[in-house]
Amino acid sequence: MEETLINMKVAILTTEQKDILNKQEVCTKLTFNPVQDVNEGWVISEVEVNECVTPEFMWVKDLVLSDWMGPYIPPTISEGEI
Amino acid sequence: MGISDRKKSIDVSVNINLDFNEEIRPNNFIVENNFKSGFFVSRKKSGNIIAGSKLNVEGQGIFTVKGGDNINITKHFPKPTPVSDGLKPTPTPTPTNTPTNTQTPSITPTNTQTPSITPTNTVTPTPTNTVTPTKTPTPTITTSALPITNPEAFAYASQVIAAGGSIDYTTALALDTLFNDLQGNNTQAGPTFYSVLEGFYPMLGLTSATQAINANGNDAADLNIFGGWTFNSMGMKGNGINSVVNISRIYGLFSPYDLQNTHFSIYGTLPYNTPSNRADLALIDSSTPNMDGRISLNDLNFGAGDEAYYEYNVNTTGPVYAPLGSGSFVVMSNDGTYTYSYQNGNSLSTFSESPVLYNTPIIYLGLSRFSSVGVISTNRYGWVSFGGFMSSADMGNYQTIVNTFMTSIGRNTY
Repeated sequence: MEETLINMKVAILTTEQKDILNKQEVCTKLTFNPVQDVNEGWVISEVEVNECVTPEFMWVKDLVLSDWMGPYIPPTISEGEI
Repeated sequence: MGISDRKKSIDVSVNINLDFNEEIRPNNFIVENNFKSGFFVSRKKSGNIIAGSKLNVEGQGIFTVKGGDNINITKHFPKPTPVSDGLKPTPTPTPTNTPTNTQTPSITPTNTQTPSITPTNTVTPTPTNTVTPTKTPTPTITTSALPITNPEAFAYASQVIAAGGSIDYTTALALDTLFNDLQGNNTQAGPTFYSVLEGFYPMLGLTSATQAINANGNDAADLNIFGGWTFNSMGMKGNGINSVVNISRIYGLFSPYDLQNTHFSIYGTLPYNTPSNRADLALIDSSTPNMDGRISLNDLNFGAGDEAYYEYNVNTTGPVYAPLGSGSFVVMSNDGTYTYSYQNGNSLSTFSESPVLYNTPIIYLGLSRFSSVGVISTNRYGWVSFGGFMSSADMGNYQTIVNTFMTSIGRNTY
């Protein structure tokens, strides 16, 4: 059931890299969406790295991939709200 | 005198220059054993031999004897072979060189072939250039060859192709049927299903560019796709990390009843995905934590087993339980008083609910209520729609139309 999360890879970004990529085009109709992992580090998914064809962002293909360790959960979230 | 001796003398005679312009002169008187006779030619001719004399040309093998007044000349020639052998060395090499020259011309054709390779290389780029235009005609050929008579279906297929996708024959037929059915069947309120649909997404093609297309031609409502979605013939699948889709259709606060007389639908094409404890389709204002409506497929957080939700006014009324598997096709609709829902061709329930907007939400797919991070769905979606109200009967008919299409292209889950 959890196979997708177990095998998922992400590329870790610096804050500056996150700001550069945020909401920029990976390819037609697909946009970078940096998120924070469990350690509050910014990451993008392996899919975005592989699919990127935007010339100014091709440097993402040089980023080191690592395992996805889970999302950062803001402490204010309460399951009961939804 | 042996033959071998004669051969040796032949070698000497080869070096003698023959001058055919030399005046022919008679032989000098020859005295036997006197080898200092005249010119060689004269000897050969051996004319003017005085009767009774002998002509003996050493080395030439010519021995002539002229008799008496009867002019009875007897010539004795030695074996011709040595003579021929002696003459051979000079002329023979010449014909021998001739075949060599013959081979040379045969090389020339070979060289002729070599240049013909150059034209071949010239031809090679031509097919390459042919390939490039082939890519351009592909959409044209594919589109024009498609068995689509419905103009809106044709326009949508053309959009998919123009965005780099392809539409095969089967899908084309299915699209034609789908659009004809949506345009040819009316909801109970009167409008056709096609008119009710503000946006619907068959998610054809294999890329974000093709699956984002709103099939009714209103590109302002194309899907906005973020993060790590993957695309295949079954639709688009989230990665559980950062895959998010939204539709730029704002349900405004200025219209408190904007959520009334609406419907939403989502078709999960891959059963048994990781449960998502948020929403596969949700109305969310990203600036607030609240949702104004959602369909959650395979949500395990709010009940036992594979239970999930379809509801409006998430924060004001209690959640409505329904066993919505990730392979379900769910439609929910509200007329301002009641919420109706259908799943896989069957009515789920009807309950009283009057949606009230607390935010200015837009539609999200596969996202937690917080627009950035949280638990993201890993479900795969093959159809999404939003628009006006559908009654229970409408939703049943609508699901039949859509599932017929999904069955035709091999995506159906029921």
